[in-house]
Amino acid sequence: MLSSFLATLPSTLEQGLIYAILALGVMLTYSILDFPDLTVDGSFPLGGAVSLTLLRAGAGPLPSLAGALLAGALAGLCTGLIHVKLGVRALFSGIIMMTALYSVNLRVTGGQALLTLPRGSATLFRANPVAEALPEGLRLLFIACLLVLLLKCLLDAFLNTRAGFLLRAAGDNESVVTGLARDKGNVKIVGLVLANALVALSGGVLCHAQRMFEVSMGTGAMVMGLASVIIGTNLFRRLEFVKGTTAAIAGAILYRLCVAAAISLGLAPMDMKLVTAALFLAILAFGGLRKEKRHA
Amino acid sequence: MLELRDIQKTYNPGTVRELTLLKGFNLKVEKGEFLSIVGSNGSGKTSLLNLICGSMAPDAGHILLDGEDITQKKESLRCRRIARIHQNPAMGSCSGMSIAENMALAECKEKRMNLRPAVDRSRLPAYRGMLAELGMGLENMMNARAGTLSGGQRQALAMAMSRLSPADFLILDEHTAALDPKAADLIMELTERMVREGGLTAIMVTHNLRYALRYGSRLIMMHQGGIEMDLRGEEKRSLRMETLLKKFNDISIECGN
Repeated sequence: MLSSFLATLPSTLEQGLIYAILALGVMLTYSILDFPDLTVDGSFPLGGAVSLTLLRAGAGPLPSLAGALLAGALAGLCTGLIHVKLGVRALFSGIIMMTALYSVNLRVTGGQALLTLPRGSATLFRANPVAEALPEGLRLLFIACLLVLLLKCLLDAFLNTRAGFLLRAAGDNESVVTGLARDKGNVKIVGLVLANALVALSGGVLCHAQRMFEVSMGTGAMVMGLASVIIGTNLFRRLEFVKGTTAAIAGAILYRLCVAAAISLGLAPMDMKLVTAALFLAILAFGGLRKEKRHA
Repeated sequence: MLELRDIQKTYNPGTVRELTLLKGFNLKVEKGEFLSIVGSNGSGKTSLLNLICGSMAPDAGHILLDGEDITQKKESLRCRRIARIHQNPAMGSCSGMSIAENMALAECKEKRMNLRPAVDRSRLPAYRGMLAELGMGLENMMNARAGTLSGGQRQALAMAMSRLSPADFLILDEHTAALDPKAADLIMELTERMVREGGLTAIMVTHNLRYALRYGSRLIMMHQGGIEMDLRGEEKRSLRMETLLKKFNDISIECGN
């Protein structure tokens, strides 16, 4: 049991790092903007579909991921516009986009529910100069780690800029944003754009690693991201100096470790979503973290 | 100068709870005036502030700011010139951000919200100086989250923040009501100083008749959407507490309070 867990440890860590990007996106909407964004279940596979389709069309790994990023940003923009300009509730705006994106994803892949990469084609992790310079077994882990660190640093820096402050204020206390003569709706839209760009990037990177796209890969993405963020926040609750981004990344890795442990205990892959749900429930019920309302 | 012209406001129109609060309401506030508004619950004081700030739209009538009709202007745009201190001290700052971060945020009001660092380290001594003037010890806890402050401290922080983001109108919505008497007195002193030093035009709604009497250059008593009493200058200065209290009791008894 333990040996199977240890044998899969490297790939568990790789997965954890890739899902950490998703967690960073979810952290942006859930923790910072206080917006329950279900778009994630659609924008995560959207990133996969776009990047893999671009790769198959001959684009390089980085342009294909840039495409994923852009597509996610567009999805977030739509959710934001639906919520802010049409006055649809946060939860419903996300559900509408999530549903619409399912068809969009199939359109992107030309109607195929499953998309694979031809042998030998370059991805973020294979057949590119950086990957070639690394030993075979460490490529995925090293590149994913580098990418997550880069994104974490960028996000931390952004949250300390004026624009970042405005974003934090919008989730913390809307009346402060209004008091600053800024439109709180526009700030929310910007937050959703950034968050879904990150989520789609995560989906793209996952497809690069797996060398395939599957249309239902987004099911449960939101829950997975939320669980990671909440585990992380819970873990470092007493350590105020630990940043939210660090907590989300640690949470994502820990979450994958829990899932891997469940598998090595003998659960089948088809039980995965059940494990996901049960884990999330356990965190909410016994984690002792209730989302406190900070202002009236 | 702020002017409300022929304002109409009805709550719950078309239902049994329909209530016409303001009917042909008029008010002019001159530049540099410090206006205190008193009145019983439901007399329309807070509605008046909401109409001025734009958190509520009138059914009919016009609101003019220096001659410009702002009736249809969005709340956030009106805030370029209007600063508001709320009754709930928590409304004025971000709980999850530190005192220094909140001050920096307030100072960004006039600037572009771009990718420059929000906190300018060279400004910290100035913030500290401003906070020290409040006499609440905030200058020694610059890194504490605003959510950990007491009500009085938090309201003082809100006042300091509005000093950093200049406006020429100050709207005070029962801003001492949630504080203990000592903190309330202190916040009132700060308010007076801020209005005087900034040359601001201020409108203060309060339930505290003592404050209405002592502070401000003009006093209005509202009742059922109308103005029952409007005193300024010498008239206001010579107004005595007993007279004010008697008038207040008279209108309160009238509606069974």
